[in-house]
Amino acid sequence: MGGLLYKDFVSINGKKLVWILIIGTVLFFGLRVAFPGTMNQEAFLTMTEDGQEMNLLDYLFFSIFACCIIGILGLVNGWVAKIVDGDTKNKIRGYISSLPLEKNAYIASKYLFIAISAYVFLSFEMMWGVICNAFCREGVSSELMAAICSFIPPLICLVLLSAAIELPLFILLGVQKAKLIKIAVVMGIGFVIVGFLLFGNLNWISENFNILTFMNWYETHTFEVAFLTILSPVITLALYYVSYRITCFFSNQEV
Amino acid sequence: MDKKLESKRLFLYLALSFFLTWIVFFTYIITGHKWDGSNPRMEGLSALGMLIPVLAHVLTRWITKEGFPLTGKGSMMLGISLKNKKWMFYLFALFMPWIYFEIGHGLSLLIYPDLFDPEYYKVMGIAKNMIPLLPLAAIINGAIGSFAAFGEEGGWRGYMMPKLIELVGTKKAVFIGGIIWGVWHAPLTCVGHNFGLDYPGFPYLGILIMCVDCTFMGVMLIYITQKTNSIWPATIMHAVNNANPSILAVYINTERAAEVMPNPIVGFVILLIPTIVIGSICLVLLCREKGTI
Repeated sequence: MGGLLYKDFVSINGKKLVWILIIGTVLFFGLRVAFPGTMNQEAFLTMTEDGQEMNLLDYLFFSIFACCIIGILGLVNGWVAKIVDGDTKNKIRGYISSLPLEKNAYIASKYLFIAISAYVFLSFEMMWGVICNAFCREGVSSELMAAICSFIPPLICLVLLSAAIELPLFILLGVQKAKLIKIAVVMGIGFVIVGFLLFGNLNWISENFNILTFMNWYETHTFEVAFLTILSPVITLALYYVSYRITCFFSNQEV
Repeated sequence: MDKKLESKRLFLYLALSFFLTWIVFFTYIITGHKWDGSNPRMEGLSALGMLIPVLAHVLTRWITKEGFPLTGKGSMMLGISLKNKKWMFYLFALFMPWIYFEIGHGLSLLIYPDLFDPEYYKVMGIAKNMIPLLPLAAIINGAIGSFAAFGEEGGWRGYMMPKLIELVGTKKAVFIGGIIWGVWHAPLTCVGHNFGLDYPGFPYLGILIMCVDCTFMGVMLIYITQKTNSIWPATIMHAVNNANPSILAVYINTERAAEVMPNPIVGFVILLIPTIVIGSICLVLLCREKGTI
């Protein structure tokens, strides 16, 4: 199993990525120390709509942090195709089936690899959250940071859920068919978004999606968000395991 | 086993672990922060010092050319196996902190009933409908956000304890390891971590109690690590322990402790009783398996 996981680690350029993550974290820490939210230069200070003082440096770091979270979601999601595609191209699956391994070891390694990746990124994101939070200004900045951080576990769960749907497709149907299905779904979502941008009520977005309305919504739904944060990992892991069992079942029937 | 070489490796690990972590802790202290009263978000940052022991572990292996085996004897113990009923130790890791914290808080209320305050959760800023979810939240958040605990366990249980056990035997190793781990926390104990700043015998009594806590908590962690050959259950248990899972805790008015108790540190000692009992049981089981009893 260790060997299979290492193979996937190599196929995603794991060593390079680990160095990027470590250097990125050190850089992020250095920049945050150099530009804390407590800096009082007037150029950085602004007021929110409800009259609270906010430092634009905090806002800048929050934006970087939020972009990192979303970027990582996409990255892990992209790995599902990459780790299965690499095996198909190199005809590794047939070779592995001839080795004295447990019959579900190959499938288990794929699920485990994505789960470990999600855990590692979750840890890094939490670390960045701690760094970002430690130097931000009291008040609305720290509240906003807490709100962003509380969404990290549910978002990582979303990655796992997406992998729980994609992995069976890629392993059972093959990379070509699975990619076609994925492109069709992504394009479908894309069409809906473009359709909304062309014909929808764009004022509704500007009225409902800004920091203030987000914070108000968060404050009135703290219990629901906390509940979601607590339960989402449990439900996700259960569904992830079910997906693994289903993939194993159909894969064994194919053989 | 080459005892001389293993001792050298152990001392190198301890030197790196203490030196690097104390740089973080002392930076926190020198910049004027105290555990109680200063920016609580800085506490989170200094808690990243918890990652240093595993870094010291990796550095020691790299410097002494010990290699980086992930599983098996003399490894970094990163494997996960649920076979042969090992899953029970993962459950132990998840739920045991809740059990001993709840018993500990129950004991505090039995001995000092004046501490009971049915409205104290409001002071703590906890919504009433969240109270039943608190242990579950602590367990899940602890298990998910266990990277900091992984930092400590990867070093203490993943490197120091197996070496100490081989060098001095299980019983001595448990106590020496506990004291080392307790002393490692000393800089933070001196600025109010766990016990605050205002108690008779400050800070020596705090450091001493921290050593006792680390010894008995450490036995449980060693026990589950040895039974599973993995540091993950210990990591989970440590993280859940740090998340302080308890329902009774929100009904204990800690502000009254100074009036009710002869020494505020007594509250922590009472809380420690279940840990000592369970830790002692684990020590007996551990020594019995190693044939030292």
